Amino acid sequence: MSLLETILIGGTVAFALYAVGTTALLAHAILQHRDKVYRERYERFLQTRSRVLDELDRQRAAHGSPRKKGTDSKG
Amino acid sequence: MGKRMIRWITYNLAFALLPLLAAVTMQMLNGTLTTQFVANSPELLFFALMVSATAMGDISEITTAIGEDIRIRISWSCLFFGAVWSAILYGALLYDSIIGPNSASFQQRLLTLSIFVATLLFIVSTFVEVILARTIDGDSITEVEQ
Repeated sequence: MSLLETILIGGTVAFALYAVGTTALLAHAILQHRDKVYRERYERFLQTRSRVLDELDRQRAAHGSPRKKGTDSKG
Repeated sequence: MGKRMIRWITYNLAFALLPLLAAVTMQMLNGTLTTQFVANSPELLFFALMVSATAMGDISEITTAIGEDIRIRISWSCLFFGAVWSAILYGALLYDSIIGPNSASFQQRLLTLSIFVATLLFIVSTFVEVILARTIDGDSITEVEQ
């Protein structure tokens, strides 16, 4: 067996150990319903983003509306 | 959740295996299919590379939203390691065919390693996709509470 083959087998074994550990970790996370926590965070993120975008839209409409500018200058 | 998993199986797994299936079918129709042909072709490593790269891209969809999480980080690192290792195995295959002695036994052993790495990456990326499907497409927490 050449040095290259030894390196390739060694690296594959190292990767296999890492992959098995990761799979066990993910399976544990699924069994523990960890995805509910992620889901909650994800929804909170979407709500915050939506609120920020709405606020930006409102501000843009307030600053960019020509009718409002006209009203302001007349007033 | 089902929609994402169907998409994962159809567009990612099936399409990633398509080049290998096409090559094997052509050889089979030609009557020249041998184990050596499969050992010579890099399609299996491309499959491993594609599933890991797709799952890594899908993870990036939620990293900003859910913040720092050790499980997601480890999954990403494992997929990254797998993708890099597949590329290294592909490099070894090229090295053997271009510079090396092009030995059949080396290619057979490389095929075994490639099958092993591809299977592991398939399992890890499927687990990642299940978590992502349950996070992104799962039942809304607010709806469940109501």
